[in-house]
Amino acid sequence: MRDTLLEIRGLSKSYPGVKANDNVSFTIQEGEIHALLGENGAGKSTLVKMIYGLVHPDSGDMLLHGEHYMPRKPSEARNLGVGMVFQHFSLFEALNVAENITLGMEQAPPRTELNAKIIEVSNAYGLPLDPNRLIGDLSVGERQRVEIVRCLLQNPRLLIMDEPTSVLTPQEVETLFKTLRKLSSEGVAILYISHKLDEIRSLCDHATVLRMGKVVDTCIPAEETARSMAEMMIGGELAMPTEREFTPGKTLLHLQNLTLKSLDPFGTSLKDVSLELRAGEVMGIAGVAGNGQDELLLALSGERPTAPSMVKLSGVAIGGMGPTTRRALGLLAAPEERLGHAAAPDMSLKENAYLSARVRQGLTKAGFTLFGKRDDFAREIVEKFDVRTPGIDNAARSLSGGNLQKFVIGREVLQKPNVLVVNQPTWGVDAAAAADIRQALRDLAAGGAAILVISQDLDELMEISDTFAVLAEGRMSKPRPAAGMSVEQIGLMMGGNLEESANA
Amino acid sequence: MKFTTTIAAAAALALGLGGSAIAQTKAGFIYVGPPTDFGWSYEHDQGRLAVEEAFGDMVETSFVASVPEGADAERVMTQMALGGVDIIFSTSFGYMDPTLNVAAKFPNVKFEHATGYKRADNVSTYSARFYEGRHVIGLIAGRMTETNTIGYIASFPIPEVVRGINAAYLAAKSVNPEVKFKVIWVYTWFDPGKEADAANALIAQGADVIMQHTDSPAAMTIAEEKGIFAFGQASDMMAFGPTARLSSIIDNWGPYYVARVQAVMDGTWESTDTWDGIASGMVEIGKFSDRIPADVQAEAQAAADAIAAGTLHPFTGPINKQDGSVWLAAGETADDGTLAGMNFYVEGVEGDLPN
Amino acid sequence: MDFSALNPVSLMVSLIIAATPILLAAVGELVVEKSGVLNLGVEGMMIIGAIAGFAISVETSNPWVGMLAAMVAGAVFASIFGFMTQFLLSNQVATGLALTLFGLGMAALLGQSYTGMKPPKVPRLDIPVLSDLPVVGPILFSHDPMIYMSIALVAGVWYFLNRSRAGLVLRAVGENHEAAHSLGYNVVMIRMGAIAFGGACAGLGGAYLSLVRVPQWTEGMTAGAGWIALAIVVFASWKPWRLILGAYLFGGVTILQLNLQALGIGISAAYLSMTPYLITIIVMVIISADRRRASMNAPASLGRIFHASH
Repeated sequence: MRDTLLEIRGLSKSYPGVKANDNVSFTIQEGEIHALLGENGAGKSTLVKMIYGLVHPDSGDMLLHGEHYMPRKPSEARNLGVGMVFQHFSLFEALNVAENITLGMEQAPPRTELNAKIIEVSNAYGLPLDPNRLIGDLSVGERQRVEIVRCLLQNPRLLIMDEPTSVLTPQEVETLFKTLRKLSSEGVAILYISHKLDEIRSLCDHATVLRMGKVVDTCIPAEETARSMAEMMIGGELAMPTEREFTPGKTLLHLQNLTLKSLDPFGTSLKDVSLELRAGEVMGIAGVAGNGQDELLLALSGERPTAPSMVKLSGVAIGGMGPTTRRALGLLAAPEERLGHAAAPDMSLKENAYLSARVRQGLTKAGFTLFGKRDDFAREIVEKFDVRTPGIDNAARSLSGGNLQKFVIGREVLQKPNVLVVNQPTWGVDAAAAADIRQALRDLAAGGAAILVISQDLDELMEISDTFAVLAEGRMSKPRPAAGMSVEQIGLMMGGNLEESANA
Repeated sequence: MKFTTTIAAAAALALGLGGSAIAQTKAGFIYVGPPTDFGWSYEHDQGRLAVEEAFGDMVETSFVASVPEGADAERVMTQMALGGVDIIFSTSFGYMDPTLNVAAKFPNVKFEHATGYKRADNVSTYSARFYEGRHVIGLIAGRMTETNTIGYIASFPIPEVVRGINAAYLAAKSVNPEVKFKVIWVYTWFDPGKEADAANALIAQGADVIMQHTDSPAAMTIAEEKGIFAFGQASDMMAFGPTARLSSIIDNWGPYYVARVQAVMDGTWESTDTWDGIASGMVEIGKFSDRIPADVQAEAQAAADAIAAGTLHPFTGPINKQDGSVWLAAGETADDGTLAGMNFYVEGVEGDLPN
Repeated sequence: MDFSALNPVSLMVSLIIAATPILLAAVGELVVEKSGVLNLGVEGMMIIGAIAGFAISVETSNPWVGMLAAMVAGAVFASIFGFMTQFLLSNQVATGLALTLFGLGMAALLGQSYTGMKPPKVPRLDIPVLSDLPVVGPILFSHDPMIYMSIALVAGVWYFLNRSRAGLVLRAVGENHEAAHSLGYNVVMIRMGAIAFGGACAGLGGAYLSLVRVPQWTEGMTAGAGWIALAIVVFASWKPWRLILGAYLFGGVTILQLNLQALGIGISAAYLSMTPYLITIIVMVIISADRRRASMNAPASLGRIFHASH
């Protein structure tokens, strides 16, 4: 019989205008893997931050091992055996593994002792790490190991994991799950946040579902389907994408031996990337983050010029042209980083709409902005893509990640591009909104556009793509039909084994 | 901007009508350094205070300090002219072109530019024959040096500074044939740190008497610390080197400023070129230190008196230029035109004159 | 040309004296920048230190009390910048520039009655025997204690940043303030501490100028030393030991050009005057040519405003 580890009793937390958590109660047993489900903005982040001591509840209390538990800061939580692995890693790129781990510990042992411990613990849990490597040189999966090992070194009783698998290859996910199951068997409880319902079904013992800050349901994931859990989260029917026939048209985008040196010291240069993208085609580009995805997007959007003939749009060499010219010609791009790249954080939604759509939507006349037309376009995005915001005068920064993502994708889709390039279109977006975005992309393709989707979410790519390629260490595999590929095959390709596509 | 100044002028006019019946004369001064530099700008400010003292309520003075040479000076003088001043004293060589530019825009305002050579109907120039003072302290330096090495901290290679070096060198040489001058150009009028470094460098090179043509008393402070001799520049600088200071060249602008303001009040002001020296009191020789032997004091005083009386000219031939060519034949004295544009070292001064 | 008159010993001594104020200010600014804050007010903090150190030394007749006062004054003055940028979230560049202008004006006001005064002398540290050694003695063992302190300070800062946990935390804050915050470190207070330390160092540098290098008080006497200190931090690519190299190089070139002139060597002084700046530009080009290393050394959060989002 397992003992109760953490009991949450009636936690509430309000922010101006929002009730983030409203009388939330549930319990976590020792050794249990407990899923926390909910749409974007359902209050999951606020709840775990209260457990970790980053946010203080307005009312309610918690019991840890039956004793009053209310950490005022993360170090208190860590001292009492509560660790957390963030979705956006709290790591320092210019520092090495050992230094990063020290920073997350209360009583760090001397460096040599710590290094030995890091090696010992990381190997014991199948997460090998070299303490002296710089974080900047590590892959995303390895960075996550650093976060996990940092928690494990402090003998946690509860480990909070926020979207841990969204950036991992399938093999890395398997490794992570093994580690988590081992921890669970040793009595460590895990509070697990994810949007990937299939993962939750295979990993988690219990699930608590949040909606609008309230606990609306609990379930045993193994006894549910992904669809039924998604419907618990949104409190209604889930729209599923419609099947469609794939009949490719003429080539719209042609990349020929695209080579581009990365400007980011931790980035990956593109090497001889070639592909043909046809009208009506959705091509998925899989790969672990940091394998050239950002560089590919920059080369296509026009932010990084290349030799003219490396990028051709409907036969026109556009490699040397800038973003505005490319937009005018019908090649649009939506980058991954929403704040600061896709959208200017401190500018309003209507200004952000203007920035990207000025040329194609004809929002200027004789050098003057047509304010009415601009505002109409911004409103159209907000309505058609269900962007939840008080109004188009609000700053981009004020939107939640998922809502801003809907705005960014909507802005490009509504400009009716000939070719649209998107990087991580549903990153951090809840199941219902993600389904809407995917449907919009497929509708666009059905209308004769060509779509290039760069993503690390394999399920998403399998669902949306007609053809499929993998980017690994800046090289791209030969695109091939998506139908009939197995997740294992793709996983090996993502690990750098591009020949797999030829052998398959 | 223009709008607000117009309003300000109108308001001033209204106040003037309603206020005192006496038409006040307004005099503006702009300084290149702070009036507390105890050097160049300090003495100009002393001149301003002399004007205030002489005329009391009849004259209102104002000043702007630490104005960089160039466009800023033009802005400051334009503001002053718009503010209704009658006469502006621009007290640095580098204000020359700005002064002429502003003067062209305000023909009714009188301008007095120190140490320059460009004049206009409403621009006078004035300067002091500092080289007369240099002659006197050059004599003292030549007598007092034991290492026969005199250090000279120079600001910019302009005629006024070159003249000073030549005059001091010729005087020192006349009493001490072995004397050598070491000149350092610091390319600033005011940077105490750099002036102190230059003084240290000169001392390290064997100089035991320091002369300077920069504005701060930093070199005097160093000389005091190192136990060598120095001279006050522009101001007395006694406080900074009670034992090091031998004498000083003091600029006394007060009488000239009072006379020029008086001329404005009388309506007799006209564009002139004034170049006065020891005789008129514009250049004063500071009190001799007790450390100068009595016979040297007497010799220096006699030279100063002779210059004042017009019987001695510091540049009297035979003098050759540095390259050995003849400049002045025996008994010939330099004319003011050559002195005003002096751009060469005399024979015996070492090093190249930067251009 | 006769170089024999160029005395290397006195050259070294003046070089060290000229470099020390810049070195002190630069080591403080390095810590500030390592914590992710760009304080362009070094010049202002230096001159506040110069007048505070001078005034208190004159009043107490004790240069050490004066230097302590200069550090306190610099730290307090820097804390104004800290309050503005860390609590009111004002722009660091604009606030830093304003701090410089404010400092220059305020120092002029405070210093009015101290012009022309003589500060008490800072004694030299004469180490018996060692100081009497030829050449080595005057170069190494016969300076005022502040010179040794400035070197010790650089060593201390190096140790702090690279060997101590607190230094690691400070670097982490400068590297990624969001991550440091989520680990539970108090970004704002750590930065306030760094800013105050930077102010104290700049204040001490200013006091060294007004008490040792010149020694006198004149308005505007820092004459750009603060800006050189800022340049040296970049020159040193945020590594403490390289600060010494940078500061001594700057001091050295200035001193060398003055001495060469005194020797009557015909290199145009204009060329010599621009040499230190030319070297800085060259070094910066060399550093930035290697993008990877440049970005490794520069604190990633430098100059960015931190606002806790929860």
